[in-house]
Amino acid sequence: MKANIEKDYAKAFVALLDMKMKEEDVIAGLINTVRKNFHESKMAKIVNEIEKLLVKSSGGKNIVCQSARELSVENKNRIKAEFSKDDQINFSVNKELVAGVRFVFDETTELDKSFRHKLKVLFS
Amino acid sequence: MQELVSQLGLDWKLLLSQGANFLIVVGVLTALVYRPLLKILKERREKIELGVKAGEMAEVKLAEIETERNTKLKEIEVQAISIVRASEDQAKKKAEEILGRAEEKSEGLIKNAQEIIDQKEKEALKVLDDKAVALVKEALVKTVLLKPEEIDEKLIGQAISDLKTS
Repeated sequence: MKANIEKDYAKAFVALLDMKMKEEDVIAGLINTVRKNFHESKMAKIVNEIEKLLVKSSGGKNIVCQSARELSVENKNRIKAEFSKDDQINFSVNKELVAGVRFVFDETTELDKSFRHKLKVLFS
Repeated sequence: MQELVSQLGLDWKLLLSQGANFLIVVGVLTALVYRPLLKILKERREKIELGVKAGEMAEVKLAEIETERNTKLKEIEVQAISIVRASEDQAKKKAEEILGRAEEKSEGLIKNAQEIIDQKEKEALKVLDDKAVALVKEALVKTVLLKPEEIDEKLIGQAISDLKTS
């Protein structure tokens, strides 16, 4: 099984926070450990994993919203309005979609309303 | 009588001695010549008869052998004919079998060839289909990319309405 160091760091971080430890101490401890293990290059991913876990623990969903082009503020707001405040929405650009949007919920389910998906359904 | 004998000049004594001589000669000739000659002649006749009989018997035997030979020849001929017929039948059967097998084999080959042709045809059609699909997709993508905002808006609208219903 492939080890996922980022997830392990994130799990440890959230577990320490759940133990009611001081947030500053936990953050300092995480940074020290990451430095000690020479995992600084993975820091961005670790933070991402921590965010995901925190959203999950607060009852929210991690949502990735991919679009073929950068969405307008108006459209982003329209989309955000459809989710609760606990949900974490990350917008990203995926030109392969050609047009439309694609949502991925907690890395498990998806709602694909992209032109690429329409083509795939049309010609399958 | 006495007078007649003396008139003829016959001498009884001489006559008797000549008679005795004659008898002796006859006896000697009979014993030494006549009887052996008769014996030889008899033996010769018997041999000839035996030869004739043997010849006759040989002829009969020869005739028997000839008959037997003819019978045997006829039997052999019949046997040969039956053997030839049997071989002909067998050869015919074998030929039919070979023809049948060849026919089966050729049918199988034809079937295989047909299957290969069908497969190739399917593959060619699939390639054509894939190319056509790729071309249509490309055309559609290019059309969409000419004015993507409208499509974007429509698809985002659909996504939002789906999110609302879910």
